[in-house]
Amino acid sequence: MQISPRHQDKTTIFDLSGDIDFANSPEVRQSVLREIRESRTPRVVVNLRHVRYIDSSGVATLVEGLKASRDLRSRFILFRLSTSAREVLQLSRLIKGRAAQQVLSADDSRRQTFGSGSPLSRDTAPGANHLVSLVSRRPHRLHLQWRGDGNLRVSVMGGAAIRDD
Amino acid sequence: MLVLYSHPKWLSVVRGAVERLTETLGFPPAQCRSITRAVDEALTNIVRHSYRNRLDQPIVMYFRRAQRRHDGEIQPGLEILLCDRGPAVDPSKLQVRPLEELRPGGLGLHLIRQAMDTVEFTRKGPTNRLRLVKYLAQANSGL
Repeated sequence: MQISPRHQDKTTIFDLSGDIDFANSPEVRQSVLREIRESRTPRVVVNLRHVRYIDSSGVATLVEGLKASRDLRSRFILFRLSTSAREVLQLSRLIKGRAAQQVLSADDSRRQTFGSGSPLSRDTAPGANHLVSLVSRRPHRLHLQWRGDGNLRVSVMGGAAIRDD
Repeated sequence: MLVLYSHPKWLSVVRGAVERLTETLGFPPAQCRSITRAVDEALTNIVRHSYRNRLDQPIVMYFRRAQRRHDGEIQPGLEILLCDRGPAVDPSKLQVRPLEELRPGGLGLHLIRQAMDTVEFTRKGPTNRLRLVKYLAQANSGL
């Protein structure tokens, strides 16, 4: 497992790759929570594109990140879920089964969410469309709305920590 | 049979073995992943709870074919037995927590139960035994 942090403006992106399991999830936890609690970074993004496997301890780490960011009114975003990551988050009911609907096209997600100079831009190949926030069932409510320009607007009501693009 | 010590570094090795095994037996890709996940979570629970993170304790895994009669047909399956020599486990602590509650931890058992058709925990002498079984639709059978 590798953790590669990138920093730009008020955003820190953790590019994770490999397997996240009980052997190494404490390392992920330490990195993510330090960024949220000590560095007080306003926006922490976890890129799961190259995560081959994530176990329940890895999911627990993401939940801790979400809760910490919610406490500090910052934002915690999961970006490009791999198949394994999506499956386990759905099974854990942290994202709903229709998570595939919580997507924006790559170009649009770049423009809307991170701006044209986003450090995420290098990860968004044409056609890629995975930009998913970690959403709890309660107390947040997910709102999906197709916009006139064909883009999907994703809003989460009820929590300042959740992105609203 | 697979014998290993309770060090987390072996988790990835077991995952690789189980994934290849389930693929070879003809389980669909999603079930290969979920069975592998269940075994990984079960091993993690043994390391964390039964052996309390001690790294040098024995774990023995048995893999064998299983079968059952289902809708008038014999349905093949894979049975995995995980054995450890930790203290006896209180069965009341093997409950799946409500997932509506947003908190870290407690997901492992849920992932195990979700993946497997049978999840049975027994104590035999000094040994904890967790029996996991997953059956395979006949059309996909490589058993």
